[in-house]
Amino acid sequence: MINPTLEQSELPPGAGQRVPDYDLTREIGYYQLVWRRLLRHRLAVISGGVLVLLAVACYLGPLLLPMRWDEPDLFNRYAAPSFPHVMGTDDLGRDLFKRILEGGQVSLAVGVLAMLVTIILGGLIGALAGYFGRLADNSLMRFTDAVLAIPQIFILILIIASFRQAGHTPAVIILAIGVTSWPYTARIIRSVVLSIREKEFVEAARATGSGNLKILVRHVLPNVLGPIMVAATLTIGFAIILESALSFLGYGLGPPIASWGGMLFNANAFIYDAPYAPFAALFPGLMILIAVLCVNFVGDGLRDAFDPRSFER
Amino acid sequence: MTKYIVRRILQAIPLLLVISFVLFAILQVLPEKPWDLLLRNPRMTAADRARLLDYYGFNRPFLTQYLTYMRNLLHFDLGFSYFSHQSTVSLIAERLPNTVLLMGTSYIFTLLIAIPIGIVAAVKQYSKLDNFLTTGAFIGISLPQFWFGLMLIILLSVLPYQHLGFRLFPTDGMWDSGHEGNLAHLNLGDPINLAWHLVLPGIVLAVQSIAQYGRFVRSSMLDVLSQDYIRTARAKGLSQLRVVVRHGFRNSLLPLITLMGLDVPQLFAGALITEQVFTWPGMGRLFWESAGKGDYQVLLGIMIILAILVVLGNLIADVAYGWADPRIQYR
Repeated sequence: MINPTLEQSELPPGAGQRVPDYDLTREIGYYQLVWRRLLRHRLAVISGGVLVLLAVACYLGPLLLPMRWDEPDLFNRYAAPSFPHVMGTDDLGRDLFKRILEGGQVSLAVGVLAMLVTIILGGLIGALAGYFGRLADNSLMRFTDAVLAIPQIFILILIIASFRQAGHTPAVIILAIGVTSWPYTARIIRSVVLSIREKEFVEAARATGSGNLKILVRHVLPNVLGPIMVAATLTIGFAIILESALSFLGYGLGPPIASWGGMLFNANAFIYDAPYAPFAALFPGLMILIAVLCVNFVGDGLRDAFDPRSFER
Repeated sequence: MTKYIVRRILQAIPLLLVISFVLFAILQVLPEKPWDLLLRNPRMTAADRARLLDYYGFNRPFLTQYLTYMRNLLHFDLGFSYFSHQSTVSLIAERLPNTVLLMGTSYIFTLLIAIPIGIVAAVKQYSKLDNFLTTGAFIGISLPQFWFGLMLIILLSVLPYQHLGFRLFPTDGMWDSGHEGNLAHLNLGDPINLAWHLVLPGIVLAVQSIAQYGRFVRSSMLDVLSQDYIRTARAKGLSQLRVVVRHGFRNSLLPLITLMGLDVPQLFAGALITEQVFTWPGMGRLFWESAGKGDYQVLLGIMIILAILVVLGNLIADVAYGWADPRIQYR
């Protein structure tokens, strides 16, 4: 859905600026360097801040609001944004702001957990294909091609629809998104591992008698951590959009749980009903946009920070 | 050339076999079984059920079922809907043209908007305008399509309706009543009415591609503009416009062909969501409806057709690239 290769700017980070006087006598580690480069990416830093703020607001904010998120108030349907309903109310008179914060917990959690599943699966498959090559590479990558050729949302709907008896639990949604998203990660990891496998230090490790597992964990893994973190960040964005798309199509978590996508699904049915009804559709989508945009900016900053040479790609 | 095409087709066949096998296997492991819809009648006895399963071959080994399905596929037979008892092929044939029309419109919108944006951004690299377009591209890529669609509906249809009493653009279906046609029967109905209905879904489906293609054209244009022949053209004293349009533009568009081919799966996915927002009776909506009924023959059929179209799209893009760029040699 999103092209992960997009870059924010073709300029190398810090181009055109005076080189700061670093204390060259002090040694800085690789991750310290990455961290410094990341901090220089202004948009990524701001986005990271917004994300932290968003998460804190979603998890702590509801505690401060007096109303209940699932309590209907039929005398107060489609209220305009005002006090105490900052964002107005929905078709059942439920406070939109509170529901957005509660829904944010679901959307963010599903995004992060689905990312974990994706990265574990994609990382494993990509690493196996890249490291062992030959038959493993061929068969795994043909399998990856096959999965990529079917538009993801179609398989997702198929999988989740078949769980209608078992229930659309969070675990089903998260696993379904993870199980269908891994090919993108697998491809990236494979290509990185493929090049690392040929490096001298891997050869040296093998010469000194290290087994495949030890080489993979001790020598390959630390070197793919950068691409993995970039892929992981961008995957959170994908997963949030996918989850909300599924909810919008009626294949998300069932009511009364409402993620941002679920709120849109609900709002879609009554946008013509009242003058202020469109607000119920405006705010949840805005939250998805902000969250995904920030995640993408952070991912972009991470990519530049890990590999400053990759800016032209 | 012909040899190359034939070889590519031969390479595509194993891929399609793997795809169909994976899909078939997925259906086997899911909790709801493809035959559940057949057995939903509560008055059936156990013997009836066994007879039905036997009749449709569901009690045979997995591999036999798969091979039977593939043999039927070669005869353009994808089974039939257990819900409406229409053949899957006819159901898809009824809807596919609608989706293709929507995707075609989206491609046109994309190219018309993304190419100028990309070129301007490249020529004015690092300017305020370039930065603005870059930010716009990021927003376009992060934009949830269904929400964008809803916002367009609210702005151009709901609000005008509430305040002025009419809608600027229609938001559901392909024609107003009384103007209907049927694309599957090559009947456009009222073409102007159809075009009017196409505007919003076309834009919604195009928005992510516009952002992506815009960035792509920009970097490809920057690539081309740093080539030697561009310097030569400038050294000859050609005007900036002539250099950019005649020498840069044409060469920078070549990679777009590949992108368009690779974009097909995303476009189908976007079409499913767009069709849902605008109740567009396309294949994505057919899929959604069938998923709601548990009509797995149709679901499987649609996914097989999709896979074929995706593989075909890549193939056409590869061949077209070689045709457009004489530097590419076929081996």
